Parts: sequence; structure tokens; C-alpha cells
Amino acid sequence: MTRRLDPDRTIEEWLIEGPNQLPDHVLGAIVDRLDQTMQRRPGWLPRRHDTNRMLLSMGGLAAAVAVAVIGGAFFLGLGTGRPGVGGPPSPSASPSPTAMPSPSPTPGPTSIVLWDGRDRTPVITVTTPPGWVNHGEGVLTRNIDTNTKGQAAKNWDGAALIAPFYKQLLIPGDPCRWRATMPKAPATTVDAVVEALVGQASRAASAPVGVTVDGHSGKSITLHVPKDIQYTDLGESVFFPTCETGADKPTEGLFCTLSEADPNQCSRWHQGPGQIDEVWVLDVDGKVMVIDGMYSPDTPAEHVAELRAVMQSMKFGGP
Amino acid sequence: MDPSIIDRARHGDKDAFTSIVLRFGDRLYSVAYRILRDTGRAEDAVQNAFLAAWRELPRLRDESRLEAWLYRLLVNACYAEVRHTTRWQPGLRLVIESPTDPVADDDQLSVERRDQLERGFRRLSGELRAVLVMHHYLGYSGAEIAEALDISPGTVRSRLHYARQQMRAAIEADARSFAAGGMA
Repeated sequence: MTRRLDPDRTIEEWLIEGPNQLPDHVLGAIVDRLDQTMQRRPGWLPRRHDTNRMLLSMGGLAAAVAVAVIGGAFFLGLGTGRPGVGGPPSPSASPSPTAMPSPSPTPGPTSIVLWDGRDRTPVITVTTPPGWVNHGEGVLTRNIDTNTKGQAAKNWDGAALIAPFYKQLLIPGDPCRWRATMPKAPATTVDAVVEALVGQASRAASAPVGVTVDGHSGKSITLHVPKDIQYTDLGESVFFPTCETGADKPTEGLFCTLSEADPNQCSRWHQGPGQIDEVWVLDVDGKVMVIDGMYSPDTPAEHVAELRAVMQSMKFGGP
Repeated sequence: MDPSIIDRARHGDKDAFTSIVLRFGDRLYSVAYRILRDTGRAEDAVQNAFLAAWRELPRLRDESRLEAWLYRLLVNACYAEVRHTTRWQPGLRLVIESPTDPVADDDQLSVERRDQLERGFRRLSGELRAVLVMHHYLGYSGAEIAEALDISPGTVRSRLHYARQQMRAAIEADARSFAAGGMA
């Protein structure tokens, strides 16, 4: 006599047999190898490879600003910093001038030139605590491993400062449909810039609040990239396939906060869903300047606090 | 799992990540062995999966999906092991001993049946093995497998169908051979 087999039950009984405990040596091997395995950061940092293309396509000073936006200007020098400029968070520390031949970690609280004052704009200096890397062209990033030079894309923890945007400020009505909603005329006052940012579709901006930095007044506003926005993560870069592409980036959907001068090329686009921007719009001696402090949802709170302190430390000087 | 542990691990805390390994290591190893049927390769797959998890953890956006995400990394590591095995494994044949008990006992798998199951299972692709193990060993539903492996529910159903069909064929062939042997 034979009994009818239940194949599913037979498979399940067979699968139950076998080892169930991870050997200790495997656990040890995993822990040992963590030191040699670097964690990847979300694809926040703007791409370096686009820098050349942006420079070629835009040229001149406008390109320099665009390069600052994509955070890749590792090869253009800036002027030296001005000694004696201090500020929070450690005003008692001895600042030192910082040249800009290449990105390098700052060893301690340091006064650096963030912006060199080209195009008749003021020179901007800031004080940075350890861990901040000056890439030149108005770009600072907070890195995780400050011992690794030039590896910003791998080390960046999402906190960064980009300053300034100051040319013809074109604020699209919708950062996703940015080319279709780009205004014809630039915003020329603090209030006009802030009003345009508040009105952007696809996200909810915070209410503007007054801010004063180094004696210059303006307004600050917090912007978010929607957390649920569709995105494509390509490792070191993130694109938004449902958003419009730029004339210089025909295959890469951008979530674009603003353009400078050219309505078909985005100057400030974002690096991932949930990204947060604390934007300061200042009137600096009659010049409207946009300062963008950004971080990711995963950025440690203490690094966000550092970012705010760096922004608060800005000093605007003559060219 | 305490979300704060995951968050600490995401920000580079190795002790926190070790807690994750301790929490899920046995489970992942059990699954890897069931898919690969080889302890050495299962160890390699688990190690590779956890290192991938450490590397990619900052990109995990939903902490509640950690376990499913770990299974996905593990299954991918197993696929790599299966491909490696398929490429390099010499063409060995399992030698089937003469059946000693032609009537299979439902409560105890015979050596012959295990052998037949083993052989049938090894013929399956990594993709079919993974869904079979996740369904029949982990008890995951089709929807849960689809979510964990980031494939469509239809693909899960299809793979599960083919995997069971092939395993049943192996079992039934076994039963027929016993019956034929009994009649001879």
C-alpha cells in the first residue's frame, strides 16, 4: 500500500532540515571587514563630471556660479582668506587664511573665503568648524571622514552651503515643471524672491522670517523636496524622471529652485527626495543675494547646527 | 528592531550594526543555506549580504523594511553564488542508492527522497529557489515576497508555480520509480 504524497508538505519538511545558526567565524569576519567597507552616502552631492560641460556651455562668470551650484569646482582657485575674520561658533579660536588649490578638510575653526567677490559682489567669509571642506566657488560641504581628501562624493553627509546666487534670479512657479513655469522677468527684490519661492508648486515652503547677518537684513525660508517624489538614484547623482530636463541636461530630470539668467538651464537643482534647504535672501548693499544651506533627512542634527552657525558667521566685505 | 539602532548604524556606528547582524544573522544564514544547499557558500552569501547592507544602509529610507531589505540583499548575494557555482561546479552526478523503503513515510523523509529533492532543487535557477524558500520555509506570502525582492506579484506567482512544478515532478518521478520497483 502506498500513501499519496503531499508535495508541498514534503518540500517544507525537507527545507526545515539544515543548519540554523550563523557560525561565529562568519560574524567575526563581517565585523572585521566593516572597517574596510565605506558606507555610501545617498546621492546628494552634485556631480563633478558635469562641471566641465557646464563651464563649456555657459562660459565666464555665469558658469562659475553654475559650477558652484553643482558643487564640482575643484579646480578653480579663489583668493586667499582674510586673517582676523572670526565669528561663531568659536570666536576665540585663531583663524587662519585658507588658500583654495584643492578641496581639503579644515583642521579646526577656520576663517575662509567662501566667495571671492567677483562681478562686483562682496567677498563672503565664513568661519567653519572642523569637518567642513571648502571646494571653492562658494561651495562648502560637511564631510564624514575629513581625513579623506577629495572624496566629497563619498564622504558628504548632505550638509552643504552654496553662496551666493545673485545674477538675474528666475524663480520657476513649479520646481518640477521649471522650464514651463519660468517667469520672463527676474525677481529683483528680497520680497519678490521670497514671494516666488513661497509660491512654488510641488512643495510647501515655510513662512518667511526676518534675518539679519553681519548687519544685512533679509528673509529666510525653508524649502523641501517632496519625500515621495519619483527619483532615479545613479549612485553619485539623483535625477527626477517626472521632472523637466535642462537644455544642457536633456536626459536628466531636475527639481529646480532657481535659474540665473538662462531660463533653460537650472542653477540650483536638488540632490534627492526629502532634501531640505534653508534659504536666506539678503539685501547686501542693494544687491539681492541668495544663500542656500542644505542638508538631507539623514544629516546628523549636530551637522545641521554647524551649517546654521556657518551661515550665521557670514561676513560681507568689499571687493 | 529599535529604529534608533538602525539609525546609529546608518550613521556609521559599528556596534549598532553588529547588533543588526546578531539579530538577523541566524535567520539569513538559514535562508542562504536553503537556497544554496552548501554551508560554505551560504556563509559567503551572508557575509556579502551584510557588508552590502553596511555599505548601503544610509540609503535605506524606511527603517520598518529593514528585514525585507536584508532578504533582498541576501537573495542577490545568493544569486551571485549560484551563478558562480553553476559556472565552476564540475559535472558531478549524485549516485542514487537502491531504495530500501518503497513506501515513503509522510512523517519522515527517506534518504532517497531527500536525494531526489536535492537533485530537483539544484536544477532550479536561483530565482526559483529564492521564491520557493521564502514561501515554503519563511512562510512569506506572494505579496510579501514581491515586496522583499522588488518584483511583481505576478512574477512571484509564476516563479513559484514553476519551482513547485519542478519539485513535484522530482517527487512524483521518485514515487513512480518506487512503484515500478515494487511491481518488478
